[in-house]
Parts: sequence; C-alpha cells; structure tokens
Amino acid sequence: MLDRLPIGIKVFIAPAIIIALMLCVMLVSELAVRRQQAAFLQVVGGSLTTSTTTTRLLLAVADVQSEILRYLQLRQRLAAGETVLVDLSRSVISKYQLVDRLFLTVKSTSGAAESDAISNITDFLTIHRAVSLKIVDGAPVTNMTTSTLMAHYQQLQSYIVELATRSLESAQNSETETEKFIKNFSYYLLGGLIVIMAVSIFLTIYVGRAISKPITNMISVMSSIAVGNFAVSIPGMQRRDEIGAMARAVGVFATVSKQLRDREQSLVEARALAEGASRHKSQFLANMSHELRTPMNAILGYTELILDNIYGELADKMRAVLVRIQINGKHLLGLINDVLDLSKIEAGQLTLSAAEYSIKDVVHNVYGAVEPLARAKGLALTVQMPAKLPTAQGDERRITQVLLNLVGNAIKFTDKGDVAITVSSSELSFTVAIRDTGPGIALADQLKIFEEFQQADSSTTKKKGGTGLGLAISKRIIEMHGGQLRVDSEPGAGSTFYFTIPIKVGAELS
Amino acid sequence: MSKRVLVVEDQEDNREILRALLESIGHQMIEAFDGEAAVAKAIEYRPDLILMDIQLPVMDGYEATRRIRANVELRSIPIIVVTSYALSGDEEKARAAGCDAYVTKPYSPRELVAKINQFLK
Repeated sequence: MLDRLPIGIKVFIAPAIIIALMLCVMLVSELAVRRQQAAFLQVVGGSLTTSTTTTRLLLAVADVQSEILRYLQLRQRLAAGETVLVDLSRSVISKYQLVDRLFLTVKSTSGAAESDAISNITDFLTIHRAVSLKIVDGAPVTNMTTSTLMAHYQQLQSYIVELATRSLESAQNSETETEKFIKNFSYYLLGGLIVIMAVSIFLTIYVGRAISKPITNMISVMSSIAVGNFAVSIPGMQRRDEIGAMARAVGVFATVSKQLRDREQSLVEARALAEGASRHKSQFLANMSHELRTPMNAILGYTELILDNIYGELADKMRAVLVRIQINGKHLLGLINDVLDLSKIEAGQLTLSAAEYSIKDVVHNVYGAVEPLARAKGLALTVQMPAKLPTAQGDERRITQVLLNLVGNAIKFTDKGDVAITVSSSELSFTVAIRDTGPGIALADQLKIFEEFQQADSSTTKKKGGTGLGLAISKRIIEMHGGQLRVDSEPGAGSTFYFTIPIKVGAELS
Repeated sequence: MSKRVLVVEDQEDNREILRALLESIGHQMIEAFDGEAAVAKAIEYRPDLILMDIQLPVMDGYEATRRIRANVELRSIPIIVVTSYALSGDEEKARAAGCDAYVTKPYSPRELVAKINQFLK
C-alpha cells in the first residue's frame, strides 16, 4: 500500500500521525481535567457543604431548643402577654426560619446516601416545630409537654449528628476517589506519552526506511550496472511512486548502457579484426618484397657480370639490350624497395635508429650523389647552409633517404634553371628547403602527391619514371621524427619542398 | 695473389654470380650451403674471407658468425654479411654477432668486389 504513495506524501504521514495522537492526548487531558473539576465541585459544593451546614443546623436547632426552654421557665413566673415572653416567642419563630433555611440548603446539597436521615430530620423537625409553636402561642404547658419536647429534640439532634457524620464520610470518600483518579490519570497520561513516543520513533524509522531503502537498493543496482553487470534485476519496477519511476528510468539506463557496451565491444572486435587484417596484409607485403629481392639479385647480378665482360666480349647490339634489362631491373628493384618501406611503415615495423649525426654531412653526401645527374641535365645545383649547425639526433640513413628523394625529384622534374638546397636552423629544429624551377604543382594536386601511388600527372610516371611512393614514404619518415613535410608551389613558378624536424629526436624513437 | 673466400649461400644463382665474380678477380671460392657446414668448412680450409648469408637452413648466419668468432683459431677471419634480410635492426643484430661489414642484396657486383678488396689487401 505504501508503495503507491508518492514520497512527498509519505514524508508527511509520520508527523501527521504523531500530531493526531498528540491531539488525542490533549483531548483526553481536557476531559480528565473537567472530570476532576466535577469531582472537586462534588466534594466542595456537595458533601462538604452538607457537612458544614448540618453542623450549623445542629447549633441552630440547639439554639431554638434553649429559647423554648427559657420561655417555659419564664411562663411559670410571668403572666402571658408580658413583653419578655412576646419577644422570646418572636425570637423562637425567627430562629425556626434560620433552621428552615439551613435545612433547605442541607436538603439541596445532600446525596442519595443521606436521604433517610433527611426524611427523619424532616419528620422530627415538623413535630418539634408544631409542639414549640403551640407553646409560644400560649397553649397550656404541662410536664408532659416539656418532656415530649425534650424527647423530640434529642431524636432530632441525633439524626442531625448522623447526617453530619454521613456527609463527612461521603466528602472523605469522594476526596479519596478524586485523589485516586488524579493518581491514575497521571499514570495514564505518562503511559499515553510513552506510547506516542514509541509510535513516533517507529513511524519515523519505518517511513525513513521506506524511503531510503529503495534508494540504497537503486544505488547498488546502478553501481552494478556501472561495472558492466547488466544481468542485475532492478527492484521496484511495479511501484507507483517516485521510486518506481526511478527504477523504470534505471531500467532504460541499463538497457541503453548494455547496447552501448555491446556496440563498443563489436566495434572493438571489428577494429581488432581490421587491424589484424591490415597487419597480415602488411606482413605479407613485407615478406613478398623480401622474397622478390632474391631473384632480383640474380637478374641484376648476372646482367652486371655479362656487361663487365666476365663471360667474354659482348656484341654492341646485345649490350644495348642488356642495358635496357638493367635499367628496367633497377626500376623494378626501386619499386620493390619502396613497397617494402611502405609496408614496413604500415606494419609498424619501420623503427628509427636515433643516433647523433651532422645535417651538414647528410646534405654533402646527397649533393655528391645527385650532382652528376644535375650536371647531365645542365642544371645548377646549389647549397646554402649556415657555417655552424648543431649536432642533430635522429635516423641519419632515413633522413638521407628523404633528402635524396626530394632533391632527386627536383632534378627529375626540372628541365631548365636550377635546384637550390637551403638549410636553416632555429633553437629546437632545422628546416631543409629544396627549391626548383620546374613546372610547379597545381593546388589541387599538392595534397595528392603525398599519397601512395600518386603523381601530379599520371602521365609523368611514364615520362619521368618513379614509383609514386617516394613522397609518401618521405612524409611518413619525417612525421616519425616528429616533423613536417610541406610543399609551396604554383604552376609555372617552380616548387619548394621543405621539411622541419626537431634537432633532437626523443630516445623513444630509437 | 690468390686468396681463399668461403661463400655461405643456399641459393645456387647467388653462388654462381659470386663464383664468376671471385674467379674474375683471381680468388678461389669454397662453398657452404648452411651455417653448420660454414663452420666446418672454415675449420677445414681456413679461408682469408667469409661472405655470409643470414637466412640459411639448419643454422642461420647469425649463429654461424657467433661460432666462428668464438673459435680462437678462426676469430681473425673477416666476415662480410651479405643478406636480403633487411628489416630495421638486422644490421645491428649482425654487428652484434660479430661481422665486419654488412651488404644488402641486391648488391652491385662491382661494389661487392670493392668491399672484398678492402679486407683482402
């Protein structure tokens, strides 16, 4: 049942019940106080009044009796009509009036327990009054009269005393009862308060747990989901309160998380598969290139031996054909070498062996290797370098390969003019620029030329030779050094290729 | 002056080229087809120079080079590693095994002759 109530309402249940209970206690206390008041009034206005009035009644009756006795004594000595007697008779009548008033009060305040005494007193008071009034009216007085009066008086007196005793007892009883009631009432009040406190504590704990327990459960469920345990069951999905809404939201969260994880897993698997496939392909290429070199070695080796006349003198026509075989064989070898390099890069097997080197030596070596080519084409090849260059760290062989490729390209594509190599250095890096006066490269082709098997114009491959892999390999080598290879060019205005590499390449590259 | 060169090579074509090359410059060629045979032939013939391939059956060129370097009597024979096994770090491995020079295939016979002459002077 509690599950259906919103937490917002549930929070108010405990205080509401506690307040209701406290109102009950207040009501009960109010009733008890009223009852106590009634009991007090009963003692003070009832039994106690009866008791004191009865005492006064007794005195008043005694007073009347003594007046009458005095009247009787004077009647024996004085004649009727004497002033003293008249005064006495009037006094007796007025004292009876007091007696009547007091008795009336006694009758009105006395309880049921005193009704016998009251009726007896009424009877004897009536007789006593009748006899007394007869005497003061001047009726003849005999000894008989006096003794009757005395007897009646004594009866009356004893009944009045009885009434006084009774009413006192009654007052004492109700006092005891009231005392008992007050005592019991304070016990009940204390008990009620204890019950309220117990109920309050129980309710607070119960409602508190009713709110906090599902939340705690939900937290542990969410923790489980967070660590990938999607099989965990989510409690409280059927609830109609906020916890139910939360549980359903967590359910959606778990489903989505699971989908995400599954998707991620399948992506990771797909990626691993793709990477594996790529690695296999690269490994295959690396192995193939290696296997291709062995027969190439035999072809080029025999060709060179024949051309060197080791197997005897060679006819000119045959020599010309063998030279063609040698040129084509070397081109094929270049392709194989480039493919091997590229596949090693792809397979992550090309690592740099970083060591100290002099960029100056690299430039001089490259210059020495390509200068004959430039000269053969009638191109000027110039080098500009600062006198002092810092000792660099990197893979000298690979950097030489890059520079050879760039300068070789420049000479290959330039028919007229010059090729200039410029080296400059900053604090942390140096830049090598290779400028030519060749045909230049259109902007659209400037990105393409760094991709594998791309030359600006595919017809140039046939005209100029080359594998179309050199720039791609060079770019990768420079990037492995933590540098950049770029080109500045405009069709008709020549090209400048330049690379910037850190002077010291980190030891992690070695 | 004729010298004895031990060629360790499992490929017949490559042996043939080296034979023609060595004979053209007047040296005698001894052949071994694998690493184990290379060590045995080195002990038997005491060559003046060894041309060592790396990828060999039975025992590879690295191990053969190490064995020859470990032998007190053979220790001083120069060894040129001639290999198409040219992945990065291979040269370091060959140098660590104890070779004196490292030539990758395919080589130009003329360049190889120049290298051989360096050690046979």
